[in-house]
Amino acid sequence: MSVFVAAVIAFEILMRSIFVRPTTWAAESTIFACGLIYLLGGAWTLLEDKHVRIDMLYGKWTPKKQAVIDCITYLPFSLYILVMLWATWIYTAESIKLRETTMSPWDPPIYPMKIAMTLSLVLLYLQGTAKMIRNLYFALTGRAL
Amino acid sequence: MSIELISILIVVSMLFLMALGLPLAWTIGAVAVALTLYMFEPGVLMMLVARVFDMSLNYTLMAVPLFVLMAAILQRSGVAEDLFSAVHVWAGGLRGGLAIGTIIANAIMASMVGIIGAEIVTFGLIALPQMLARNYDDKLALGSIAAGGGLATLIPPSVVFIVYGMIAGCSVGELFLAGVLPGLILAAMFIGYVIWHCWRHPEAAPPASLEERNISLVQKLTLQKKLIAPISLATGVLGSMYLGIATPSEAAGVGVLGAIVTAVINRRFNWVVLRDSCYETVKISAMLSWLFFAAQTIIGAYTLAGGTTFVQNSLKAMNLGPWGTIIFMQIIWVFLGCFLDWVGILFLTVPLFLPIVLGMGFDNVWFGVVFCMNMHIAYLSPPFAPSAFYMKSVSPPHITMMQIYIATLPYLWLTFLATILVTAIPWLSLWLPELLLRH
Repeated sequence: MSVFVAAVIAFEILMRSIFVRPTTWAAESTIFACGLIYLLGGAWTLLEDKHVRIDMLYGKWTPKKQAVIDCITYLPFSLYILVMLWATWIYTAESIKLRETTMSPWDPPIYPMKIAMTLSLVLLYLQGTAKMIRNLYFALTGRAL
Repeated sequence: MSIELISILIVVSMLFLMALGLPLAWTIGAVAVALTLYMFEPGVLMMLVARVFDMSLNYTLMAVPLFVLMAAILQRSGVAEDLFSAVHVWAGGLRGGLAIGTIIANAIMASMVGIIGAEIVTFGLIALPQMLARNYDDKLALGSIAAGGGLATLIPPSVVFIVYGMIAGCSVGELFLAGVLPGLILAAMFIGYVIWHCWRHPEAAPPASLEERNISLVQKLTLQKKLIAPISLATGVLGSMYLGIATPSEAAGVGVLGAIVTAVINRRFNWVVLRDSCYETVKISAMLSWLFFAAQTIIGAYTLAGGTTFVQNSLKAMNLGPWGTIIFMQIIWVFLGCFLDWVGILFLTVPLFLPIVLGMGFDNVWFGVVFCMNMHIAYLSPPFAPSAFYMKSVSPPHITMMQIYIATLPYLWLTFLATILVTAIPWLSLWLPELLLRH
């Protein structure tokens, strides 16, 4: 996971140096870099528990109750991610088959970005599942895994 | 199933999942996917995926991580300390001078930083200990920082405006300009309140000690040198945008560079600062953009199901008239503001409200400023008041949440007043963009 983050950050640093040199490829490549940050950063943000939630009730519960509820809300989370993953996969496969490009002056291939989107959903799901297992263990035994 | 029933089901299931503490992004996404699977064939999912994908490569969205990074670096660069010391030497003899200085420094900082959290945390660490050390009333000290930090949303650059501009499809540059005047008005109101409060309760803000006041003019002017870097940074970023040299996204990139230069000048730049700033940026922008993605899915699915037309028709059927509708929308915002933060409110309501508002002939940019003012209220209104939470995170332990809520109350009422002003007089927000950009 941290390897990905390092890669993302490397992209960010690269981005800044690109900024002072306007070329045909700069705009698109920085957009791609930012896209990668959002997509791949999602799973890491989940790990760090930084996705906003409404903790009006949630914040008042005991850690054990939070863990139990988190295991239940894992179901809608899975529904969203898995369905999106399935659809994104078809979307990506099509793009790979066509060797789709962005149709701009620079005209880079677009399918690696779509692969990144699929990958990011896979990572998110893995991270979500890892969290769920940890929560389940905590809910059952009262000890952190 | 009729669209009425579906709409109710969507709202109920969203509220239910949110109450269970499922992060907002997954809540919205799960409801969107369930809706799509139930109403349409799976092919529609492809459309949702395409919407999400387009969003991830959106050029305007790029400004978000860059401005966040700029704020994160500036927060660690010592600029705020410089600003604070440069401003408050002038106000030393005045009663409440420190509180006034805090608000002014906040306003200047707001022209470089677009995130409320960054402002409140920074000034909470710098200005709060100084005010408490000088026996300022807790209420005055806490309120001026928590409320002054909120100016970051109105004074450009502001992340709220960028995100609104993307959803509403209007120029981020115009939004930024439109926010300047309301932001200054609000700052002036806050300062006015502090002066009035100190005049009524002189014991709340003891003046500076004599030796502190006896700084020679030369020394005061030397302190002003520290202002050069931050102010040129702010003018560089905003100026390049308004002169048409750079788009907001490019200006943000220049700003990041400028923030690094400033940090280097202050000898605060090192690997840890850069790393922590980058980490923070990735987390905030990933959080925001996954919310974007989820919002794209629900908006797509709900529009296809006929939901947008339904909401529009029912709002029209209420027969409130144009201004009645605007006021009604704001009441909804203020109400939601007690429980949600601006991200949630923006994604849930603006896509539904905007077509109606534009249909009635109102201005896109003006509506954005009105939205922003309402979010200002949302930041301060308990029980879910992000400003107060940020404040609490940097306050000494003896200060309770309740004290902070009470301290921000007068500023909350002032913000209400300013919101009414901005709503009633569109000229306040539209004059600057018209003067500079719309000829």
